Amino acid sequence: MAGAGEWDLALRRRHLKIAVPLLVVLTVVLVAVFADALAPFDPTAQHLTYRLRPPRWAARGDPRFLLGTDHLGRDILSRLLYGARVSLPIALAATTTGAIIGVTLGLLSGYFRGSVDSVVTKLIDIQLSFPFILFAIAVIAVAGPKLSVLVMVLAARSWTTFARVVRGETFTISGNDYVMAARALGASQTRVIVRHIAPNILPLAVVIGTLDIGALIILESTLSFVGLGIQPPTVSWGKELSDARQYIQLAWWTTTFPGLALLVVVLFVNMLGDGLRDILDPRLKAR
Amino acid sequence: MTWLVRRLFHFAIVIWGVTTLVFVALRLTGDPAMMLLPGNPTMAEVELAREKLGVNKPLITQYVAFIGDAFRGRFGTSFLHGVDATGVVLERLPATALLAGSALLLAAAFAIPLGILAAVFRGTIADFAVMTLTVIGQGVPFFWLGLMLILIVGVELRLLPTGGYGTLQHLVLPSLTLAGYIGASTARLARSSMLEVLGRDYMRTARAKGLALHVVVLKHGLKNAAIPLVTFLGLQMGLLLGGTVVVEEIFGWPGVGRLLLQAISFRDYPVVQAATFILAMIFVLVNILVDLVYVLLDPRVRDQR
Amino acid sequence: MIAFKGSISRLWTASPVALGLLWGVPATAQPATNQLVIAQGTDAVTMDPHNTTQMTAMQPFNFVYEKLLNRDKDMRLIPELAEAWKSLDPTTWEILLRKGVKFHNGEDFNAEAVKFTLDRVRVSGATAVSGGFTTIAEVRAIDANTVHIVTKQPDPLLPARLAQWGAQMLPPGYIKEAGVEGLALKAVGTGPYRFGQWRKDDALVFEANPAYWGAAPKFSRVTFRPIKDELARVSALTAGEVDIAVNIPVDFTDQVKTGKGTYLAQTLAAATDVFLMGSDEALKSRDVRLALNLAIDRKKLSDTLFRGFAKPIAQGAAPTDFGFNPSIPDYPYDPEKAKKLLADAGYPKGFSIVVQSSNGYILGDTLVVEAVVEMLKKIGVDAQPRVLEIARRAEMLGKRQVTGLVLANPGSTLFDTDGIVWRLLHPEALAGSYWPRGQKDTDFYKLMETARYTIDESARRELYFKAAEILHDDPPWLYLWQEFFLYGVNCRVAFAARVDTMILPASLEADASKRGGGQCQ
Repeated sequence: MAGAGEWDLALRRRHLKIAVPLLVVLTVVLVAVFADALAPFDPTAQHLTYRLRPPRWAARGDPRFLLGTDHLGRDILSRLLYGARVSLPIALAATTTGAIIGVTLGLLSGYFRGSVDSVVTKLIDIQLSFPFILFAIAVIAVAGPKLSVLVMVLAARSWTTFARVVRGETFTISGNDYVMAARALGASQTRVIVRHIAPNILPLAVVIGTLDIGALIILESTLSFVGLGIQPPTVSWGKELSDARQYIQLAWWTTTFPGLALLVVVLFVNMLGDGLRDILDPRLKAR
Repeated sequence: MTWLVRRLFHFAIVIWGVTTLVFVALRLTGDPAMMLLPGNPTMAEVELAREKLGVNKPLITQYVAFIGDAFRGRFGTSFLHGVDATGVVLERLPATALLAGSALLLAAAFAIPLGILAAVFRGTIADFAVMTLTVIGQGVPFFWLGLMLILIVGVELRLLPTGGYGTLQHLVLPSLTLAGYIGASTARLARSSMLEVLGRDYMRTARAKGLALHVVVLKHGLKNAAIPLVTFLGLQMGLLLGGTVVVEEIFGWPGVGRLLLQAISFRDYPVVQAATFILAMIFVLVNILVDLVYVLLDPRVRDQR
Repeated sequence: MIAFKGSISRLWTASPVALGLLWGVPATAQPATNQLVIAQGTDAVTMDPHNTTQMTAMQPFNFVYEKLLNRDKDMRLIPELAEAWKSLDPTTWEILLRKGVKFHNGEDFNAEAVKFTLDRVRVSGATAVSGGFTTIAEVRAIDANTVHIVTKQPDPLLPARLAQWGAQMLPPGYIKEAGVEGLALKAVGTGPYRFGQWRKDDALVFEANPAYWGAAPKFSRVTFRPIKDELARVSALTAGEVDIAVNIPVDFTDQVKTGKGTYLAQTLAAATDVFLMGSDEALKSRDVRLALNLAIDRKKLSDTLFRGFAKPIAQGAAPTDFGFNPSIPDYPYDPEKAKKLLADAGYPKGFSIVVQSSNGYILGDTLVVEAVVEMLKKIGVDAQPRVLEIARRAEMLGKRQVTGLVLANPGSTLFDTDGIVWRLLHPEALAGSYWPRGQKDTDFYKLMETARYTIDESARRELYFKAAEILHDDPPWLYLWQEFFLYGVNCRVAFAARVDTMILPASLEADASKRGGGQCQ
């Protein structure tokens, strides 16, 4: 039996695993919120005579542009700060949407089984085998290149993960003695789902969600690469990176800084997910 | 046996669903006639073109004809290439299959052992190193990785070609890039799978009994960790086929991904439909294989599928 | 799956993997000295020269197909498969054909082949290039080496049409045997190179034609490789894997110029960048359109965005086109005057407009849109940028539903004002319905219609000069500049760029001593 001191340490480590990344993510959120005050320039302001200037400390750098300028002479630092306003919320919104759809379908499928399950699994497989690029183009062509549409497209990518995992868990739990007993005692379907199954599923969903956000942030960048993502004048890290890909060699700062921003955020969001998973249920490590 | 039949039925519906949705999606998104005629067509010329392409008939008629032909493997003549669409897709399939297959093999060969290593030596430097690698792999868009490889290995070091197709040399960079795409998450999954298995009671019992570490890991651990891994790799097929689009673009690899992107841009209906159908078939085949392996490894699971 | 069977056998033969891959020749091997590798953005989609308008297909065609006439480096018409031509009467032209020429499959090139080819393209809507040949009424083979072409109305451009894209001569025998599908897969022409192999999306290979009627081909093999990503294309050049990288972005020009072993070849292209103007209410006013033109600092954009590789224009035609009026000045950059004009037109507070382009279709398109949007905002116009998907853009143009500004790059393959201006601005054409000044029976309309059918060159020129003045004073478009076309070339190849951006076998030399530019040591 572990002594009281050891127990404390383990708990503290677990809490640290969440606290640190949470702090970082919150900082990024704050930066996004206060971008107006923090950014030295309007992110869309062009200084055409100062195109592709390196960061301030380098040879041809200009003191006004701390991190240098991009191919249209726009301040990279300002674009990074404002970019946070887009990259994070989109991924968050997409994951949440995907979670809502996926968890609901997964629950229904796992609990009711039979024909409901049959339909849901077909939907999942149809979505997975539908070429994502075609899906993205079709949706955007019909509904327009708006932010909300982009969220829907990204959500389409993530709901299947939620659905599959939740379905599996629901299967297991609903076959559980506890649940069968509740049903035998006359509890309604809804009550059973809400009181017995959902509380076990939700933590799982949260963990999947945090791990998913990172992937969606990166996916947004890949969509821009193919020409389907964020449209100007909106700024996002993913679009920055994609737009500047021609200049990887010629102007390293145009890709490195957005890339670092992406990397840092994805890293800490993933850490947050790992930490949450550790706290919520060691059994969940299997995911 | 009935299980197999049920699965086949399931996948037949899936293929039908995807093919129909693609049919609808294409027709909602724009007029192919407009795309194919140069600069300055008159309205009459456009109508003539639409008739030649067969897109001016009512949707239902088009759909019925389409489904009938589709199940015989015929998708019509490519609007852009002027030859049979199915042939156009199949020509490029080996290249994509080679790329995806190599990437999968690379990922399996490197990522899985690394993940297992990280699990077995949890908390040590090795674990930390592997985790750092995976974090980087998941934190950068892989097209950036591909471009960096071209620059460093192809241009600066001149070790490998910067793109193209034809020899094993041309395969290295593209498959490395694609393997990077799925490798990071594969390694993490291998690690957490292994961790979970290692933590189970019977494993501790086996170790307590004095069995050597590697026996424990290989015999018992792997077998159980394999299940979620196999499913995962099967799932990755879908991701891989999507990822090949980007890699093929960057490296000039003559595969289906690139073709699909071009066909979609130009609304080349027959090629898009043929490619989607064929890709869906592949996805389905892989899934059936995965299911079979799954069932072999753990018969109890059959009910859950 | 009947159709699959044949395709599956093709699957095996098409797959070099199945035959056992070797590691391959060392990556650093350059193409052998008598071979040439050209990298373009995309692969050709067909070998049928009448059914594509893709420039990246036209380039390879220059090596295997030939036309009756062609153009020299100054864009003057020169004989190719035709030895001489003259107009017998206003609607009949006589063409005398070169003797002793054979197609790559051994067939003779003669009047029958010419009649077959021209009859194929002159039917409206029959091929993708038919639009350029609809003036032809009839083609008569008089004898084996003489052809008469009858036009519906007097057509001063007939000889130019015989030198344009889509005028490549085809072998009737081969087509009868292999059909249109065979032609789409394998090119059979009369050129200095013959079709070798086509690995789709990977490489298109041509071999030298020893039986060629003209100057011996300088290379034993010419390969076209499609490399879409610009960085990858330039990297291939720098790594020595390709000899010519076609169409490179301006930001790479320094690297190519100063790089060891590479140099920059450039030319003004016969294409202009403009923003077509749509059906917006505000755009109906001449003052508004003029204001927009005065609000753009073209020189600044050219210097910064394009490093000088963009030549401002202020009229419809490009300086390299027939009918370009050299006495028309460029627009000054005058945002104050622009604001005043807007106020005069009734828009003192500006108006809303959407500025559109597709992404990657025209080099630098999204950059230009973003830059122009900023400049318009400075004169009070609420400009919104928007990226159009290629198909959507084509649809908008085709259905005559353009709103706002749309980036386009009009050009005339005939190097003629008619092609670059009237083809687009005619009331029934793509961009014609929106401009009040070009509608039926206006002075502009009359000028252009008359010029279209005037055979006398100097009279035609006068008409176009007058038209150019109207195009300048009452602009239908937001003019930008004439494009430069840039190539990165390996120092071992001497290459002279042409205004029509075509790479002709004649413009290449493998002889290193003839390299252009002092960029190679």
